[in-house]
Amino acid sequence: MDRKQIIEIFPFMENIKGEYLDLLFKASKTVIFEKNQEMIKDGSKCLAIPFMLSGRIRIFKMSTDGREITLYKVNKGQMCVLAAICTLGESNYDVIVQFEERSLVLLIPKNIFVHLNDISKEWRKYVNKSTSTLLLNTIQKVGSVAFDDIEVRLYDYLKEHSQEVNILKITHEKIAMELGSAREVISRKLKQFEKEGIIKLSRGQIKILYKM
Amino acid sequence: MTKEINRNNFNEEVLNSSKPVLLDFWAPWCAPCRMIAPVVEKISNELEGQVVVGKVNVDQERDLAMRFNIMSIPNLVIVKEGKVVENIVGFRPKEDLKNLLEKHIS
Repeated sequence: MDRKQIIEIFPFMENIKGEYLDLLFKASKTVIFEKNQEMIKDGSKCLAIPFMLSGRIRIFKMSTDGREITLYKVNKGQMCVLAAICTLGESNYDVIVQFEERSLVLLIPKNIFVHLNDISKEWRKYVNKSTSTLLLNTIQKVGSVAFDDIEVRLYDYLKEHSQEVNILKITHEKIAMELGSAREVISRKLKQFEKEGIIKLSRGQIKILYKM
Repeated sequence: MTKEINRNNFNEEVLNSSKPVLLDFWAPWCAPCRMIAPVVEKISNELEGQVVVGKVNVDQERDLAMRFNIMSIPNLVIVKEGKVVENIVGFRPKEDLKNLLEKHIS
């Protein structure tokens, strides 16, 4: 992928000075990461910041009994904020960052990322905006986990993921991992939705019967 | 015994090695790296003659870290016949690492 195509995915780069962009593209590289490749784990220290050109990263926490909860995801056109704040704050976080899909990434070395943050107002603006958006979404998510019934969270999950397709190819186990719940609970609630005529269940997929 | 790997000895010690190579990407300021260092040292002693164990200081060898797409440390990489066959992020117990390495010892 060339520079022009990358800027189309990250339009804020159009406003970065040419000499800074030269520095960025000289030091960075595009890399393909395979599905399930881990990026950060057990408080490891960041060395590079991924900007997503395709695919997706999932950031999640795992309990001591192996249950998972997805905190957020990083999609095409976004940078991994956690890696950025881990780099800028020189701190580490007890979460797992993993490629959920085969992904193409612009990998920016830590020293270049920090340098651009020091010298470019437009760069800082993008980093600050990405960080504040993530903070607001995380606050909303914490509120939902703390106060919303699992039925509401499951309904919201199905609604969010059925915007473009009406058949979700996903297991009950995977939804439980996304929502930080148990598979049995998710299966029971899905059966209830099926009885209510909202969805139709079959092996490995959920058909949405009306626009949520 | 572990070897210090840098841009000058990389080809000889890693790319052209006839044995599998375990590379430990680390930095002096990285606390989790200090946790894994004794584990890597023990493996190096226990599998002496069967594998090469190298340490890459990412502060001094940024290009090597980028070459291996290292995004965080500690990160262990197993290289066999010049190709990456395992990429391990974060801490792993000694037995897990030994098992992974033994898979690649022919």
